[in-house]
Amino acid sequence: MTAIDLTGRRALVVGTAHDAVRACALSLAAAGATVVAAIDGTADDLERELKEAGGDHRLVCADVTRPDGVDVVLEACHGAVDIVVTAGPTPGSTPLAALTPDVWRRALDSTLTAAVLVVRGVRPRLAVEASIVHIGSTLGSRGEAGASAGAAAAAGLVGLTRSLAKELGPDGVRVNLVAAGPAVAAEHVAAVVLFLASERARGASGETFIVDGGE
Amino acid sequence: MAAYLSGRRAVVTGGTRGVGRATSLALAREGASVLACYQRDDSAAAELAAHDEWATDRCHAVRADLRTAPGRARLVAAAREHLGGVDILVNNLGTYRPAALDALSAPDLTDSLHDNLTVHIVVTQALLGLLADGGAVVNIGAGMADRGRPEHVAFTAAKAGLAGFTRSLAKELAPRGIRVNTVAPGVVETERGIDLPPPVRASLLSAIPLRRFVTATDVADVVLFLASDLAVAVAGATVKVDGGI
Repeated sequence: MTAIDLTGRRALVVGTAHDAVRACALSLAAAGATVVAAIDGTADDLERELKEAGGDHRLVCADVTRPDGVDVVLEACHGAVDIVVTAGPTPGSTPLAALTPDVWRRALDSTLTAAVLVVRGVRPRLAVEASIVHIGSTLGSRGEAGASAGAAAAAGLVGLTRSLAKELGPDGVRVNLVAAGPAVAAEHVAAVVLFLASERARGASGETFIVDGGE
Repeated sequence: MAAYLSGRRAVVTGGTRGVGRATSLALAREGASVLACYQRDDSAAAELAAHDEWATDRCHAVRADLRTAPGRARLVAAAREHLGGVDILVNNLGTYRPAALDALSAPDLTDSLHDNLTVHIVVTQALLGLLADGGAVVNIGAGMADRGRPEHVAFTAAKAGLAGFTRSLAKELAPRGIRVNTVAPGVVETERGIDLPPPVRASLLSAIPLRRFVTATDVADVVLFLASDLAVAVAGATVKVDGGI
């Protein structure tokens, strides 16, 4: 039994990590929220599952690393937004020699730029006491050989989260980060996102929630 | 909202006042069996027991000084008698006596380290045999342990020590599926309000992004989250609940 009731809340879940977007969208929907999920590419399974969940959920295809992609997502949201979840990609491995400016930019764009563009775009639509949750990785604090771009992006999310929490806090908007470990299931990450999206987490903002099973 | 800790057996140390009291009440509200331990304030225990959610068939309080071995034995006996086992242990008790370094007496230093760190380790040790596999330990730390604060040398040293205790114990108890985490609150408004002069209060408030003090109930809700299945993959973590400071 879950204690999280999000009936009547409107949630936006965007990202490039299919597993995380899917798990978060489905658990938010199961908790009663109306969900707009956005993913870059097709996700027939998610579209079907959201339909089966009942309610007025939507799935849109959009590249949120670009402002016009964010516009597409916002058009799918009607009215105010209570919950925003961004999920960057699972960081890949690229040794330094192969880390061309293009690879580097893509790693930062898909994580940091996407998160900033989404929050900037949705900001005028945010409801009072809205909750923003970024999903990142423990790579930012762990580091890993061959993962410098992904780790830099993950660490960047910490500063982004703390700064946005300070900037948007006076309006009652909370901003938190979930840093997922490499061996953690998307469903377990989504459970923490669910809590942070709810009013039960009303005292938490600017904080990084490490979800790595204690490794 | 539906009860999500029905059937869980919880011990809360320092469980009749402040964050401990709010945690005891929230656990009771969510259907858990609760044993609230307190050192000497019988009137606070009576106030707790007067709440509607404090169902007397599953909620109890025990008076015991956990700084002493006989006190801990008393808690263990009460936990065995009232709960049979422990699924959730909330290590909350503590003392708060700010002092500048040059005014910090040796006994005060010893007491502060003992009451805010050592006691949590020995209480957990005493209850280890009753702790059920798949359970959760939640320690109550302090947000200022990370930031530091003048005249809080002993208090923050002890509270920062909890982070190491948390990480190591999480690894040690992981094979049994027991998760160990710490909640680190900022300035907390309790049932007794906030004991601060108005100018200090105003300046602290302006430093909190959410522009309000965290309440004991806000902290309790995060404790319950960490004790629940929602946090099944959260272990060894220290989580701040401070309004975004």
